[in-house]
Amino acid sequence: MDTATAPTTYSHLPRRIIVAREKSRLSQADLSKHVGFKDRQTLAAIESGQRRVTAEELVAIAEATGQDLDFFTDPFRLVGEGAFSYRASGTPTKALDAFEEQAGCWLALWRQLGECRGESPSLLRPRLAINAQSTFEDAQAAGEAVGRELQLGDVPAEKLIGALEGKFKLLVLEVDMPKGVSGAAVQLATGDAILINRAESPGRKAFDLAHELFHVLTWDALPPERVDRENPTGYKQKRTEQLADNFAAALLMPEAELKPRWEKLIAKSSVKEVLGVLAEHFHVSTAAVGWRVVALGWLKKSELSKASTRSATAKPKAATRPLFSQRFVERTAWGIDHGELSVQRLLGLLDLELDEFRACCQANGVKAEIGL
Amino acid sequence: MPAPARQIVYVDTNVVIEAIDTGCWKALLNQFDIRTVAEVRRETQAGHRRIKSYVVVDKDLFDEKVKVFEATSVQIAAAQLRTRLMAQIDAGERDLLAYVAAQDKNALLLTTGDRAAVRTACALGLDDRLRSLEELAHACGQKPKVEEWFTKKWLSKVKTEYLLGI
Repeated sequence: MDTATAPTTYSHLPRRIIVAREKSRLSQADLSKHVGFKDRQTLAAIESGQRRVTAEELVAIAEATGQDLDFFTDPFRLVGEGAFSYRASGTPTKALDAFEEQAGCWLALWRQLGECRGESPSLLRPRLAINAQSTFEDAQAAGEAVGRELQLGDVPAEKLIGALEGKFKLLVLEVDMPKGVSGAAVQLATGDAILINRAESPGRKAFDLAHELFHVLTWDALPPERVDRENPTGYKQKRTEQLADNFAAALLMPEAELKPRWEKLIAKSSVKEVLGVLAEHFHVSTAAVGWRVVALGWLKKSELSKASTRSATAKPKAATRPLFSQRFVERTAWGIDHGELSVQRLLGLLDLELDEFRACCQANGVKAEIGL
Repeated sequence: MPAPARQIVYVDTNVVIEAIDTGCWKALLNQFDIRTVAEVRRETQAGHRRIKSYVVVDKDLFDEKVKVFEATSVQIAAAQLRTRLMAQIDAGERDLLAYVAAQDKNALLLTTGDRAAVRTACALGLDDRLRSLEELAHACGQKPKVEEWFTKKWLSKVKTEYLLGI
């Protein structure tokens, strides 16, 4: 007997059999022969969900396709689903692959426990009316508009995560990422996500979040590359990244908030000093403020170069957020408390030791009753 | 006349560690026919990888007294297809429950102190065979101070909640 909360069948099983078969380049006829089916129709019925696979058949399919059993049955991993786009520089593909496997566990965990709680994922997605023909001004206007719609106030970076989680139903996680990766956007049928490298400075993190948000909101019209390099070379990719940067800058530094501060400060201070003050106020880097005021036409590029803001970053005024997020950790603690997940299994999925998980709960303000 | 067969009891890593920690492990080994699966044996020898303050398990004593069996892929797959909850427990618990569900109809299962594992055991129809560490220690004349989740009361509560769909 199964509980009322846990789904009784593996809805993902037929699809995963298809993924395994295609990965091993076997036709339905080939795999049927390996498994010992009389004809291809039996496998076709299993793959379409019309017939249940038996334990013996599943083991035979696993052996023939070179996969372990968990590949087919584990709901806490992404198999043949999910598209990642990284904001990265010089990170080896192997490191991204390994991270993606780990991140897939976090996202699948979030989804699975949501299902167990009876929380249906939102299938409706907000989308920006931006495409390959859009101008930088269009992207800036979109950033300003999204900020207004989300009511982000005079320091958008402070309220952005909460607004994205609450109004856009996005999962935003601060995690440890491979060297050179500052963030990632993830598209999933059951809910998009943004991952931010928590080792980044607060100013970088806010900008990365807004940049990745652009990709999430324009994924269909401007599909991002798996790795969107900070200094892209191809025209199309470069254009998309520039649009994303313009959107992010306008979202985090709306003109209505920036202008009066800029005018007041620039009257009595140097460009460099003003950029530093504004960067601290908006929780972005001085370079981001510099390019924003250039885009708004208040400063010439040459004046910005003279101010040499490139290496300067905002002081970490905003408190560093703990690992993952409160919503995420709260859901995992709920899973333990309701017996939807064993403690050992959870620790394996999060790649944490027990003491680290306890610290993570405490830092996120989550009360968890963890045995062992 | 041969001695009566001892009751077969299967254990998992958490139970072994708690039994050693509370001083009733040797009494259990003497009183019952203690068994487990290979993955649990491996976990007891490696320590809890993710729990720093793990208890050292005496390997020689374990190998001398505990019978170890291997859960087959078909047994694991059968249990996984029977209940999705199998995916929510770790490898040692998974192999143990799959093996006991398929193999040993008369054995008792000493529960793990983990809510998810108890619920999975119930989903596999093993609820009547679950026993708490506290209960079996008492049967050996021991009264260890076990953690709450190894008590008869806790086990009964979790089983009842499961059966009521709470």
